[in-house]
Amino acid sequence: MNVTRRGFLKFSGITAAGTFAGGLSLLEGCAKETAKLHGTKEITGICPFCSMGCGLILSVRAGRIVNIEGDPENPINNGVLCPKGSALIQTLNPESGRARSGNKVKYRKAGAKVWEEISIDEAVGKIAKRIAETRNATFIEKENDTVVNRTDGIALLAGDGLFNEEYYLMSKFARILGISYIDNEARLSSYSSFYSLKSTLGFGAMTNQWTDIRNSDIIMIAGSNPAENNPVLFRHIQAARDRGAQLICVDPRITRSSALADHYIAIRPGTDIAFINGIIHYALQNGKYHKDYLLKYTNAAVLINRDFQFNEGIFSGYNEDEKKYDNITWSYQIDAKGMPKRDKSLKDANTVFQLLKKHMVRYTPAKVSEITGCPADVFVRAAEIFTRSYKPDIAASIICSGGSEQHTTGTQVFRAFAILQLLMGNIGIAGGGINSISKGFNLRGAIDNGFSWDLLPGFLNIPSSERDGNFNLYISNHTPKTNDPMSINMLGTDGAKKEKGNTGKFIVSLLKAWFGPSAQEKNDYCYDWLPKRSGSYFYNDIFNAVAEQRVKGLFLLNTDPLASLPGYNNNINLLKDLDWIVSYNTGEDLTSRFWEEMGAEADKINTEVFLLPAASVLEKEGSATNSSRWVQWCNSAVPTERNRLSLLNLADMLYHEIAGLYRNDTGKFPDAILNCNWKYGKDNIRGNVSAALIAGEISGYLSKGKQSVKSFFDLRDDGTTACGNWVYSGCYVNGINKMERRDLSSRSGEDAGLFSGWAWSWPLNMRILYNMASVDTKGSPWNSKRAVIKWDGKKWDGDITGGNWMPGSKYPFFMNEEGFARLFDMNMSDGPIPEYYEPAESHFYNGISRIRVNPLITDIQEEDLDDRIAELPLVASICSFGEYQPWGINGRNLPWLKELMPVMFCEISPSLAGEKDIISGDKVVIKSKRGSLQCTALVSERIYPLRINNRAVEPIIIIKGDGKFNPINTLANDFRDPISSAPEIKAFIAGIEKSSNRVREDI
Amino acid sequence: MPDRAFLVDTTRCIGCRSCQTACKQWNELPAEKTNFFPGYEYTDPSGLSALTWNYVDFRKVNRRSGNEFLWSIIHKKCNHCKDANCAAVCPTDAVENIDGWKIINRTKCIGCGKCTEACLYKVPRVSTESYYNSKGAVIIEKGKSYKCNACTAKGRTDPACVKNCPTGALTYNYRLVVLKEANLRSKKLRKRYPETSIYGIFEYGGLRVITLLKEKPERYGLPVGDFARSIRSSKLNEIREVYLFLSMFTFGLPVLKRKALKIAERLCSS
Repeated sequence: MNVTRRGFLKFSGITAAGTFAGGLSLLEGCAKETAKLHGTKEITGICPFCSMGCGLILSVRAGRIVNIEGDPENPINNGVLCPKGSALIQTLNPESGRARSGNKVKYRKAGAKVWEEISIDEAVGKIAKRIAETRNATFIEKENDTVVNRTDGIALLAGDGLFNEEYYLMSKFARILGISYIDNEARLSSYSSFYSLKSTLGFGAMTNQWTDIRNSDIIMIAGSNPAENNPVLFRHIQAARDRGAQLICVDPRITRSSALADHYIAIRPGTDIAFINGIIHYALQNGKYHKDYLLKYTNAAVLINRDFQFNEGIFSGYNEDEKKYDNITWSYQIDAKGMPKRDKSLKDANTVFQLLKKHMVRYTPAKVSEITGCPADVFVRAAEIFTRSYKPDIAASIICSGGSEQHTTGTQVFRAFAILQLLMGNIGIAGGGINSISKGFNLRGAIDNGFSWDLLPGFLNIPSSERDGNFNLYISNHTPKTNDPMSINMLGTDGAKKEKGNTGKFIVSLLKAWFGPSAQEKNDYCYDWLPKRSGSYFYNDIFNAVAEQRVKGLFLLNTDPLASLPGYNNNINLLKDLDWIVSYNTGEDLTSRFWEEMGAEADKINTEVFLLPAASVLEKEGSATNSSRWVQWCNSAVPTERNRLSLLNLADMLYHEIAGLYRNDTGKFPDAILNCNWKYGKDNIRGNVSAALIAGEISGYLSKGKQSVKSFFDLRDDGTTACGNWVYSGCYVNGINKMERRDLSSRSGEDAGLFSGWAWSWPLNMRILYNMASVDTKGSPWNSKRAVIKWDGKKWDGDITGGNWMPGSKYPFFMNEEGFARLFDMNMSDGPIPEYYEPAESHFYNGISRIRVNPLITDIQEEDLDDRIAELPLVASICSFGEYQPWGINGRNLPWLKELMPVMFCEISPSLAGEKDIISGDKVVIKSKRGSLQCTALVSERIYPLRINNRAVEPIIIIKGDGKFNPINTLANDFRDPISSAPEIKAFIAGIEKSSNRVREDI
Repeated sequence: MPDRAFLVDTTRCIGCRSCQTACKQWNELPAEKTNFFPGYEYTDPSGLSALTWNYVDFRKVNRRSGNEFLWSIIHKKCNHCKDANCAAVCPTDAVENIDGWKIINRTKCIGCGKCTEACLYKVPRVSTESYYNSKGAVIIEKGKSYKCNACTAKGRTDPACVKNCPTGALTYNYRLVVLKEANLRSKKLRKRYPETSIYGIFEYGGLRVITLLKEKPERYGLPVGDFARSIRSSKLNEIREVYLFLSMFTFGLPVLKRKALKIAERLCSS
């Protein structure tokens, strides 16, 4: 949809004057056409640099983009762009390092020392052959008498910079071939919050939306730095501050986000759980919790198995040899009706509430201070301010991201956030929630659309060869059951009524979308054609899989594992064992040119490499999901016929080429490939796929007549409906693209400012998840001034609730089988209640229990901590900056951003600098157990040594670099969160030495 | 048209530098080559130049304790002074006053650098190199003076820096409205920042950039009091007249023009 220039300028005028009351009319009539933009056509798009989803206006003249500015109408950014967004236009310049020369593919023959250029068609032909060869050689049809139809020989990894349709289609393409090794870069961070929030609340996603942050009264930024990584988010934080909101910022160093904070708290890197548990303890001790909310909407009153125990840092059921928990004692007590037993007085010692209280009693302010290094009085002050939000009319929001995710206890940090917010009654309300900023442009969409080894589109579980041998087993294993009539149990079924649950409907519709007419009831809808996984396939295990010779071919989409995983020197040697690498990237990534890096040995390397020049986000169309679940449509700024390189077109060409090979030849298991539902080429031309067509498939349709379904409530398990992703169902209905909507006039949820008419938000266009928790059981909002929904006597007013239930008749946490949000979560494999453990590499014993490190972490070498302190005395944390690390290769070389952040650097305190005789601008060498790295030092008062155990602990903050030697692939350790596999790059031990004098000329 | 002005509210600034890049984007200014932060914290480049018309100046963090600090971050650009020194000293009257904005007329500019010398904020800068855009057109010409033109030259109704400020630290309105707003905000801020002040009300006859500061102006390296008074000298007019006469013999060559200016100065000072 286009915006007129005149309207555009008018809106920009409003933005400029908008901060003054009544400034609106002043600029009217001043709009005039500028020479720069004269005669341009305007196209709307979405900025591809982070997960905010800011709107863009692309001015195009004669097929060329001449100007990119913020979209004044988009409620996320109101016309504002951060430095990254402003520099976006430079990605189109040749100097930004684009790999693209026309539509040629760079190809490296086995043993070659240089690239050669081949055409796309030739490349597709070759790649198809390699894929088929590797697939045939490694295909497993049966495993222990279970049909698995899987190949482990090919790995498909993705980064960001792709649209939902592309993730969806590639995930379909890969699974039709039997590829199990599918994962995306969010594995390195966002999955911590994903698994944690999914298990606790129902969906692994940010609960509220960006535009809702302005409704908060208290905002706590913990483990994130929006001012530097997502500056536009600060627009909404500042709007809340203008209303009088308090901003609390918890960070080891003063960041630009802390610059505006009303309360800044410095804690030692890696001690997040101790800090949050401390606040939970404060709330419980002082009675500052929302009791009504706890009783009705959470499992606080549920009784837990009497055998459940917690002793000295270990929960009951721990198996020390396997380093695993058996969660059999972490269960609910069940009454005669098959429902969880509850004690509404909360007095029984086995209630979740009492267990939580008992667990948290150890986290006293003194203890928190001892562990985190934050003075007790400062901590108590912060706890006091945050817990003010237990009152129903005060909302507090937690903004968090990688800083809390990338730990060996990453998922449990988010559990702690969730428990705290549930105690305060802050989930589901306007201005509340846990707002975890996902990394990357559309990694949210990658997780949603099944680009993950353990999830199909819509978070349905991938069948496992051990448990889900046949379709009926799969359905019964993954359909949660409840006997409580008040629980909606969206995925499952009402145990009493014995009807089939939604899981069945969703998976059958998915199989119909993938296998079309072949999927029939008599063949279990081709369930056996889906690959069944065995074990795990984490993104960051890729080099282990290559070392074990499991993976022979590597397919990379906008991602660069060699640059972004620990152990560069080891990993680069492993790559030569691969038969082929296909890299679809906007620039030349390190992985695809590893053979160049090997220098003289290149002729002995027989790995074939294809570097496909990717279309940039500006050159293709599709939808992108921002962190707050808004699915927004981007239009292509260049004529579509010029661009055959969107992944949709490429996948289509590849599919037909591979299908051709299997049609003519006898390859392994050709059934799924030849009989799947793949009719995308417009006018029967291969590689001519419209994104809208895929969006329609994702949204769902009736098998007969191809009418769209309106939402996932229309889906059936009898094969009459097809739907690629039930969570996105309803985003594209009968040719109406709801993701393209620009209606700002919608009055629904007016008090809270929901923007329900702008784009579309999954699920069902629900803007605030679990919004049924924002009202009491009579249907009146906890805070009438910021009502998300209201019961008007007959129906719900405001946001989408998902059903027209009478107030108080259903529990709000509709994805959890028991209907409650889980303060006590038996499904978290590393403990039902968050417990503090030291980072895997630290200088300290655990101040709270004798168990030092998360007991599920293997390969921990216990050594004398004093030696560590002497050798590597610093606590290091790797962080990123918006100006420095956007969007992989393509974003690194933008001159306007390089000017702002020219080099990789580390930040150290003046006291450490004095000790080591370092001044700002000196080159230093940072050492860790795994390697050393040279970078420039920035000495600043913003870094401050914390006193812990009578010792000053000096932090060092390393700003993420890129390319060949960066802190992640040289310094960082590979200890990971046991659930999400996020690496612990936010806390490890390091040392520093000065290497040479200052590089800069003047100060 | 009544005067307009910028309001820079440093108490809302997060130092994201959207303004800095937005200016480069709209005005198509090339990036500077930098190798590390030349100033405090993340300040980069170190100041204004022919290629950088506004920048964010990060001041040194004043850390009172582990959890208390004051960090001032300020957006700096041409202040468009009412009685501007650059305009007073320019021998060719190249600094023109358009709607109250001080705009350099590059056809008149001879690149003598007098404006840079006279400006206490060191705003106008003479380019030492020419830069071209991808189509080969000149963006920055060697030997000409460049500075912020409040985006009026390219016909925007709202300057690019203002439009792209995420937190509202930069706003744009009638100067009277701006002053009123600044006073209002300053009163509220007194509690948190006892030394808060408003800069630009009286300096150089009144600036078009009103800055609300967390601390005293001196802490930001801003001239105050007698320092911030404009140059008035009859000699300047004398030089200008002599120069105008001499420039008739320069055949339009910038090198000769700059020589002519030097001769004029020598003649007038003797």
